[in-house]
Amino acid sequence: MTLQDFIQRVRSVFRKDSRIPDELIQDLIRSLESTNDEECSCGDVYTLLDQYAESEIRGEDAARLMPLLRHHIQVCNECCEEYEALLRVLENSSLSEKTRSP
Amino acid sequence: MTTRTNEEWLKDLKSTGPARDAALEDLRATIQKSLPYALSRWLSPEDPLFMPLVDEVTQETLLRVLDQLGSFEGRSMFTTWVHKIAIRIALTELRRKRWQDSSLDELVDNEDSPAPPRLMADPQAGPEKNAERADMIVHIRRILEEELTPKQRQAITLLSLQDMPMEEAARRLKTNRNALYKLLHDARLRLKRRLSLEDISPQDVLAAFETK
Repeated sequence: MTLQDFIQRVRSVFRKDSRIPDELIQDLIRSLESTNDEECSCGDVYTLLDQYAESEIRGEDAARLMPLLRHHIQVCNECCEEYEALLRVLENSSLSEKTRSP
Repeated sequence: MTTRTNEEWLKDLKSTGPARDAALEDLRATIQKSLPYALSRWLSPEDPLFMPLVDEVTQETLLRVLDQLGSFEGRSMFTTWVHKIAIRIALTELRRKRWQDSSLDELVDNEDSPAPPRLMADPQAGPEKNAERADMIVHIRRILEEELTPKQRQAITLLSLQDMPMEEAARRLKTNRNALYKLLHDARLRLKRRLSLEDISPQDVLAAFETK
């Protein structure tokens, strides 16, 4: 592939009037089933993520305490990855010993 | 390493002199100890990229923590708050790098690739059924045109394209990750309400696409 071909392909991929491919429409339709009227944003999740993860480590019912956050983590791949990474860190740190309920 | 309460961390980091230096050194060690666990799904400590990434993330995290000390509200342990910041920085960098590497490979690899089998016409269905499904697809495409703004359509396409990270898509759309999520949520809500108004279930739509 020449540089010109590559640039042409990138341009064609990113042109603003491109039709949404069928596969993307299917993904979008599937996502509607887990779409709620009220959802929190990635920023809201980020603000509370440390508190939420500690709550989970302590064995509290974090999902019940923060249902919007729980829902967001279920539908947003990147926030879910960050949450799981934080849980792994806490599980392997002294925090899990200090904050676990007796 | 000294064990500190949240208040002690804040006091030492806001001070000057040896107490601050010691706190920064302890924080650096804490971050570096945690990153192998945080990154274990993506990068092995044996990977040549691992140590440079850890050094870069540690440095950036320390700067960001000092800059944002005033926003720490004490709802978690201070170190948990720091880990959260380090993880956001590390995963943003990893996603950006992975996407840059894979998108070029995919553009080269996918040239002239045949259409996937599920997009072929269903030979089992009669012509009438196939016509109904084709009508449904045309109708759904019209709904997308009517309900979604050009920016929403562009965001959906970008994010699904070779798994472009949210941060990268937000940068291209001249927005941020937070606003991008809201943009997509609004798009999903509009579509959901429109389909509901027209009494079309998601299953009907998916069935039409899957047997196209």
